[in-house]
Amino acid sequence: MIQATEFDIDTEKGNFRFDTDYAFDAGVGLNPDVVRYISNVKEEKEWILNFRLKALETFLKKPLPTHWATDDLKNINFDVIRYYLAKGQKPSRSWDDVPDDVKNTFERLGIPEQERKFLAGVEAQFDSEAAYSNMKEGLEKEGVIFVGPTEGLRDHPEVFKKWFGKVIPTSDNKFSALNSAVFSGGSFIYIPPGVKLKQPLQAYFRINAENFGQFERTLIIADEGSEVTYMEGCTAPKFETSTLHSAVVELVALKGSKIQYITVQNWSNNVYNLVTKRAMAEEEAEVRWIDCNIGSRLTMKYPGVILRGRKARGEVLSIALANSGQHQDTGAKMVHAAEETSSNIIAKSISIGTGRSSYRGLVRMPKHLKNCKNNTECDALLINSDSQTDTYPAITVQGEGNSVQHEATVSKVSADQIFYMQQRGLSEGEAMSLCVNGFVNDLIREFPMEYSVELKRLIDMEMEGSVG
Amino acid sequence: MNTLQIKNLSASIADKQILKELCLEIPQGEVHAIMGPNGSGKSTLSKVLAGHPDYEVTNGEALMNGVNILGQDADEIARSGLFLAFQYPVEVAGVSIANFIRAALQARLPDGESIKAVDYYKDLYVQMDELGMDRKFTSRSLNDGFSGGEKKRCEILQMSMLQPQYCILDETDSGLDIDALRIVSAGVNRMRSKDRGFLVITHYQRLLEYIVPDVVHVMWDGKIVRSGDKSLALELEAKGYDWIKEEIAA
Amino acid sequence: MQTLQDPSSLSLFDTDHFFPNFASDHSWEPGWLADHRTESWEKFRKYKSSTSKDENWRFSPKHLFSLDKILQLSDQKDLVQLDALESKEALFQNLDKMILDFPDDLSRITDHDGPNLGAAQNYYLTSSLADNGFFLGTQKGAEIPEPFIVEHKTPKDEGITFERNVINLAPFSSATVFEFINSDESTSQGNASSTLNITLGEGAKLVRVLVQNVNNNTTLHQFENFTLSKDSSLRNVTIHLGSSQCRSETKGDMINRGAFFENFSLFLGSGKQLFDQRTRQVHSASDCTSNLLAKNAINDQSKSIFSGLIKVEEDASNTNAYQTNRNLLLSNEAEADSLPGLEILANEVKCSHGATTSKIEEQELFYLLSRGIPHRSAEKLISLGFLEEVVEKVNNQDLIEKIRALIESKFDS
Repeated sequence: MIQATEFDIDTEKGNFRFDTDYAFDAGVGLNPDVVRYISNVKEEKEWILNFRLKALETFLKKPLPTHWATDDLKNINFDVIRYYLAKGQKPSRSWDDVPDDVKNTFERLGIPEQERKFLAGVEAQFDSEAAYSNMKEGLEKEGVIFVGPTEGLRDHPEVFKKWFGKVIPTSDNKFSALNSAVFSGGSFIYIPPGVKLKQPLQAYFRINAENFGQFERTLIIADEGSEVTYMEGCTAPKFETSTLHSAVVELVALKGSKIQYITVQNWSNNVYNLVTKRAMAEEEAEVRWIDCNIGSRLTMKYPGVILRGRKARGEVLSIALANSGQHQDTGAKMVHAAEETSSNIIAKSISIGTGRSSYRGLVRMPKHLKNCKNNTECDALLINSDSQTDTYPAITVQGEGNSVQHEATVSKVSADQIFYMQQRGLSEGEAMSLCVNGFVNDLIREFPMEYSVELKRLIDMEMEGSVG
Repeated sequence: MNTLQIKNLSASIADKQILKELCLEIPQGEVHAIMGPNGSGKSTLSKVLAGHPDYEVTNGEALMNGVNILGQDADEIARSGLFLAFQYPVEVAGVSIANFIRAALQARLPDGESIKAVDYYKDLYVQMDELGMDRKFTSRSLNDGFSGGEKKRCEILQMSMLQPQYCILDETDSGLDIDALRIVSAGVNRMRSKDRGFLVITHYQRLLEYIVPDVVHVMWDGKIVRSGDKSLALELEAKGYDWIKEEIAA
Repeated sequence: MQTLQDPSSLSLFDTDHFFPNFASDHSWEPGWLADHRTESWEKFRKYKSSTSKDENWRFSPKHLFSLDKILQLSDQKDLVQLDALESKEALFQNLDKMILDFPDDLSRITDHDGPNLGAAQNYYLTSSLADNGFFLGTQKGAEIPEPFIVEHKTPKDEGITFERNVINLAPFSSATVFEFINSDESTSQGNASSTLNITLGEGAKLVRVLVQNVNNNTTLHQFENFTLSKDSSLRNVTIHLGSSQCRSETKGDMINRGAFFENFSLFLGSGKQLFDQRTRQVHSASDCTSNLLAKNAINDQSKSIFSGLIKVEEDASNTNAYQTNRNLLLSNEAEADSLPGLEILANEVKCSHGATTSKIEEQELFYLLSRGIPHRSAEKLISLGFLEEVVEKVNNQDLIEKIRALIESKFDS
């Protein structure tokens, strides 16, 4: 359990307390010394330190992308953020401090007692260690590497160095640069040729065993003909002390391989979640991003696939739920760079109360290619009169050999539908929940069973109090 | 010479062989029917003869009045006298029926000559009246939003305007109610002549009560497995295709 | 004397003496107009100095529309010709005449603004320097069936002409306006920048058709800003065939309930033509309907950009808004960029957009071929059919025939 030397770090949200032990704390604000400190604690090679320092320069140089993105980004104060908390230093508070609505949520989701305390930040870890080491043992037999970035770059440079920072260059955007400067935590995974993992890899156990990173760095390499499903996040709300999360996730799908990356994001409503996710798909490889965003104050995330080999396939299936005080700014990027590549984007969003959901898409097909296809559907559902939705796709097609189609609709649950169900005895709220679940049902089915059940319950809960 | 003669025709799509050394001859003045179960290759035969680019001819020839049409472009084949009434005519937005048929007729004239609009419309209206089509149809976009029956009538209208030497009707009866079937059949029967050959592809015997064939062929697995007079169609109707299957196996 | 910059490297509108000279040339004009020109000029200077990135220029080769390459103002004052339709119920005059004889009717332009979808500086420059243009105003309740016809020309010299065009329909009046833009010479490299403000009073109805067929060396800037009052309706049809590059910005703002706004456009591109189109459908009030259809058929190395936004403001309940962009690629080097956007702040809405880009369907082509129509003719027929959906929105059969013939002749050339 956690010792009791404490000081308040965030008085607004949830009374989290930290142990003070400056040996493991880089302090607040961002400068080259902080970056050196992080690199030093992790005992990194010099090239990684240089990579971080260069990234810091890029971060400081790049303006906030507010010429297209929300001005809310201006409210981030980069000088008061704590960029690194070392192992051993964990937040704590007592179960009594946990707000009733959170306890209630855990109750309704049926989360086990042990886990509840962890999720509420009462306990830093439960039995993840054991779960992780069990999983790891089985994987090693197949030659699968499943480690954190520090171990990955230190123990397996021949595997990871080649691709690290290649799918998403440091300078891709301001937040990928930030991540490149201060990353810690995350998953580095290598699947050998032909290995088809039947069980999904759960980030949950491994990352929790270390303490969750706010600047995660993930790199997954699926070698030829291999298959892997990776799951990050969980449906239960995760209460966070740190208000800025900025992850970089790079996927490399080599010839004929398949990667499925599943995310359920349910950060608390004080978090800026600014994530860069991109995959590279070689010949006949298939990459699927399945993404569900429920939490956070502002999420900006546009998973992409660069379709670099013939017949590569890319897919993004995305659900966003924006309640009052939230802005889910999500979307997808499909860059077609080889013949006969195909991509599919299905994005559904629900805006509740004053919540705002935005879709941004990019589809690009250059002229020297033939038989590339894209299909995009984005549908928005507005629940209340002050709910908001935006759609900003950008589609470029050159040459007569390619085709795209894009469709978007905005709708609300019709009064007729509600009345019909009320007439059959459902309350207005129940009817609304049913309609919303129906709206996202075809996408929810794509999630693993245990997630989809919880997602449905979660949506029901978000819908409560939205009508009337 | 005045015959459509198909010799040992083999064809495939996406490396899957559909037609297997098929032989068939349709002299002008005769109506031949092809019957056969789904997947036997009936529609493929019609598309291959019409020059559809998706199909690859791997063997054989199709001589129209002595000239091999296989390998020619679809429009060339059409202008030299072959007409295919499609099972599923495509919809072409914005192109009116009148303009479309006119363009098709124009393409058959030598350079420098053009269609006389007055004669053209007179002729068009006569044919439309025969088929019971409202004249408003001429300004509608080709097949766009047409019912199944309207589409088939529109195919027969084109056939009667273009006056081909050989007509292939691909499942023209599908999607037609009994009244539409009568009208369409009457349109075909009016066009029967000693200068014209017909190949009627159908799944059911019903159509052949209206368009009475001279010869009936049964197609199975990419070739003609049996030929006979119109009674063969009745026999098929009564016994079903399994009967043929057993006979072939035996 | 030493100057910091070599004056010869300055573009026309950057030289110190340019605007004072222009103003003194126009000193005969009424004071309110002089003030308006100065005010617009200052806005132009302000926008010109701003260098911030602008999403409204995404995908556009902005330098092609730069004003810096312009060497002179065209001194042709006769570039807008009006077909003298006699009507007691309408005022229909060119800009010069309006300034001299009807300054009060014209003075409402001081309240006008541009669509400002990216090229605001060009809009203000045009407002400041306009020397050509037309004005149409109707009386309350006037129903005028015959079309008002406006012929615009691009300048013969290699300069730029600025046009200010205004249509004001009084409540419950209705009118039709056909505009044509042509070039007298096929090789002149002129520039034309024009603004059109349309204001519709309650229940007013307007059909406006533009047929643009200038020569392929001309650069066009078009700024269309429409304001629709209660129960008014506007159908705007634009046919773009000519120009080397054309930037077209169109905004329709439905400010009172029950307004109905239709915006249809087509572009047939060949050579290296560029059509850069930005549109906005603004629903500021409830119970309004807007419908947009933009069809581009592009050949050779031509390029089309469609960037549209449906904006539904908070109080605009019972909104119906549609936006469709269809691009037909006819060559392997043509490029279509599509940015169909939605911003929805109300929930009682029916709103959708769709964008497709593809080549001619193989099946359609085969169907025509199978009737004996040669390949080239079949492609042409299908392309014309593709554009027909926009052409048939024109409410005048003679003009439809004329547009069809223009499209066909462009296709044949």
